[in-house]
Amino acid sequence: MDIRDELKRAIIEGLNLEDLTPEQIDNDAPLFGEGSPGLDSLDAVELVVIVQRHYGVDIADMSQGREAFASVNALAKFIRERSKA
Amino acid sequence: MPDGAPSSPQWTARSRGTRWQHLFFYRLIRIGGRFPAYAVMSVVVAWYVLFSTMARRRCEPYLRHRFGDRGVLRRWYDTYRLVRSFGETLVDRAAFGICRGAGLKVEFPQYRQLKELLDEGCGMVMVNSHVGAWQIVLAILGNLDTQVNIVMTREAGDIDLHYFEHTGDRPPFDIIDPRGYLGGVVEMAAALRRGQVVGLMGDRVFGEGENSASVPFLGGPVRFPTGPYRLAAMNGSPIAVLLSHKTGRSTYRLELSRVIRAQPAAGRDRDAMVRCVRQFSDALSDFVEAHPWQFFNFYDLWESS
Repeated sequence: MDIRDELKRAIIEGLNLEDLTPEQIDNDAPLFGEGSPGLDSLDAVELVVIVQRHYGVDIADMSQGREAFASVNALAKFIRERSKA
Repeated sequence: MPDGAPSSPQWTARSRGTRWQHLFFYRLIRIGGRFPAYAVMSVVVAWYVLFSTMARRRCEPYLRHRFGDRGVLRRWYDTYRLVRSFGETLVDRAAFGICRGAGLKVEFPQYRQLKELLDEGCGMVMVNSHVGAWQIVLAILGNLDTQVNIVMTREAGDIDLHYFEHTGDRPPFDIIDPRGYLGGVVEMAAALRRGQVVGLMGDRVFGEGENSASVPFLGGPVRFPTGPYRLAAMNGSPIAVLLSHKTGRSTYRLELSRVIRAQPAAGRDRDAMVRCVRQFSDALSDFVEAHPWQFFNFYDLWESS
């Protein structure tokens, strides 16, 4: 499965977003703020935990968070780059 | 998670008074220590309470909820007592920095219990409130074997210095600015994962009121943040409610008022979060019952005053 689809499923399951389907999450839309799937700032904590648990990748600070949470595509790229390292 | 959340906070972190008034007190403390500053401050407070409608208006909601309706003269005296108590705390805070301790002592008999919470290895969320001298008591937490991170903000134009800013020393804690990306939660979560302490104010809702819950406090509904408890739940961290009060001319006491446990799966369970906020509200109610003149939220907290 494409990492982006995996991520979207993990986000929906991990954050209990039962009203959403993976197809409804735009790969290029920001995960937080305007145009996002409706996550609030504390959901970011859970998302950090999900990414850590599923991929062993840590999002440790604001600049990494800003980069990773820019979109599903950005998060997938962030994970791929850190997984290789 | 908004449910009828207020559109914007009523409080401000900016201090009253002008730059020269602050500098005057800092100079007075530098020359004569705390006690001359208390004396001058008492006169300033009396003037302020007598002639500033705003001062009385800012104290009135708390005093009304804490003491009920009282006569005009009694209410003025209560206002004086409350503002004077706050002034004394501000003098102590400045003196603690300027005079490097200024002879102030902080008692914390439950230090070992706090250490045991940290030894659980999941970090710790420390919930404080605007009571007593929270900045001074934080200094003693520098003795913990782990990094302490405090979520705090400084408003533009605020000229009141934190105690460590008087000396240019590094603060005994790291500061996380809640105005950063996603309210600083990424840093907070990372700190907890490293087993560190994250300190937040349990009585202030940042932003537009999301992640808050309305709970009873002193007979009326007050909106307190749920964020600290959600953060703790997601990381499996214990929550320590730490409240301080002045016990004598030169002594403060820090108390571990409550240990709140938010179950790891409870982060998105609104009812579980409201129960946590209620425990904090109960701790704060007990505190103001015992120490009515040490509560320093000078705005109307209540939703239907």
